[in-house]
Amino acid sequence: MLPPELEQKLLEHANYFPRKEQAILLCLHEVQDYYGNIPTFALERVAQILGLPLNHVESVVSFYDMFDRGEPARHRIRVCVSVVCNLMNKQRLLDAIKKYLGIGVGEVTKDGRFKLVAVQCLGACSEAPVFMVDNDIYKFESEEKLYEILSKYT
Amino acid sequence: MKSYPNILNIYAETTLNLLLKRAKKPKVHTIEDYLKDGGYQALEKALNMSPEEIIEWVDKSQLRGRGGAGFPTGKKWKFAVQNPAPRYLICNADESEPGTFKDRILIERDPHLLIEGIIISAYAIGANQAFIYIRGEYPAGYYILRNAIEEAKAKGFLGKNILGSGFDLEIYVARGAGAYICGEESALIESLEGKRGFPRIKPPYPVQYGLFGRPTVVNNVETLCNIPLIVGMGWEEYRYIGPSDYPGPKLFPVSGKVKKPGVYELPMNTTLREVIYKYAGGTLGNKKVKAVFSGALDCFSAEELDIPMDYSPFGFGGTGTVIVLTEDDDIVKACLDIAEFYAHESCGQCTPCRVGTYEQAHLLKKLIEGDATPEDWEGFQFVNKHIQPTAICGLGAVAGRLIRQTMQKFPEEWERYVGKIKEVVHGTS
Repeated sequence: MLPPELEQKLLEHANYFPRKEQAILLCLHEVQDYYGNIPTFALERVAQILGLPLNHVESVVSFYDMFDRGEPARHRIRVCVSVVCNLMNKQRLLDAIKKYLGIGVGEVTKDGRFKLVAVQCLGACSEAPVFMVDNDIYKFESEEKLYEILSKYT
Repeated sequence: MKSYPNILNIYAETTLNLLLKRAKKPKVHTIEDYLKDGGYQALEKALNMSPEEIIEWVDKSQLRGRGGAGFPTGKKWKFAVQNPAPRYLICNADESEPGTFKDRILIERDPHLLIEGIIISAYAIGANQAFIYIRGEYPAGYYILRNAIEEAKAKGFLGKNILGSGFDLEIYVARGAGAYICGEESALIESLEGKRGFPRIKPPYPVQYGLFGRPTVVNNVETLCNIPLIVGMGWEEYRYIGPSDYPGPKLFPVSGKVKKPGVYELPMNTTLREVIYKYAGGTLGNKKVKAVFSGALDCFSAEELDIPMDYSPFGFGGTGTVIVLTEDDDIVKACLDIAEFYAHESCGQCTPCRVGTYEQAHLLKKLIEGDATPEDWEGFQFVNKHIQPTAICGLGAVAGRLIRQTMQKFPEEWERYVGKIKEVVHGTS
């Protein structure tokens, strides 16, 4: 069984659209926000709630880039590596994260607090280089500002 | 005040005060803000018109789709209503092309302009259910839209019997999850049905066979935000905005090496040079413009800065995305970013695109790192040309286009790398 507050949200999503199966991405976002990845038992429960075969849900999870079946973390840092952020020197941002957290792209900090992933354009290119922490988007201004932002995510 | 995930204060400026009338201010405008500004009056007007008349107005306004293809919106609607109800309206808010962030500020700052546009459009095409598909990386926008829809429902602009007209409409908001391909309308529909975002073979087009097999209109956020303007001022007046062939306001997201990056609302007879120098403040360090990328689609050279920002064959076209590269920027390295973007975003359905975009990026990387052989260079040029004719959708069709344009327009930049290709000495044994 999933924790009641998560179960509740999944049921709300399942009843939101005209057809249950349309809620699959909303449900998977909910699961990932809760666990930091998509664990198998939660994936099975999503399939059950939406009345979908497990392999259908698996195929959807593997298609969409934001869903992670790998190692979880409490917070996910998404760094844009697209053309504009690259022109505006996204490497400084990746270096600063490496210096502060000791992790590179695809890695998780030892305490399980952060996972760093590289993503394509985040759609805030006037502010490049940009990154997201969970649902929040930020501009990289300086190392100090970056560390101040990251310290809010415990 | 509702609290939302953190959003950025993207700079916005307008000479027209239409689409960005409110959104130029970095603030989530509530329904009260919108009503104070005359909001939802176009909806009242529309509900007193016949759906056919609204479609006629939109057609006569010469509004073209703002999602990149520039297809005439009125024509799309006319195709859709030829097919029997139930029909659906989908707002494509899956903005994910590199350099594009214009729909973001409309959604985050002026959600009711979009919602009013959706209600009028749904009424015009006879849809009682509409969907907004917003990219997964815009969570704040998702919550802002959900909240704005509740606000509109509470005032009777949504739900059953809207403003006593007998017209019913529900708007649902769906989230994507990091797949650029879902901005392609048939892939979006697949995704909205709860499946992988694989583009469909067309025809049939979505106006014939769309969501759940029903006639479906898919329109971009900015396109739908034009609808309350057209209905509000009338198509005749709308036609006076900007040039006569390409009327209406247009948003241009400007980024890269400019002093004032941001979103600019301008008429389409503005030139690319004006966008960069008159509005975006010129280039960083006053360096010479080397190239402008229109998203991941086209590359323009410094000799082409006098083209208009319209949909003509020699115009800027696309989504209006302006990415400025200056003299110190390496075009070939920027092409690698573009190649990696397509390789990452190919959905994998068509083999030539799946393998071709990967090889295009992989071989280009080898070329840049000085590890390429003559065979690699030949292979690179081959895949660059051959992804296009075999692709089901537009992504495959354009995956090699910008890169090919840079090879024609900047041969000397490519020569720097091609000149370093290792001559392979074949053994004799």
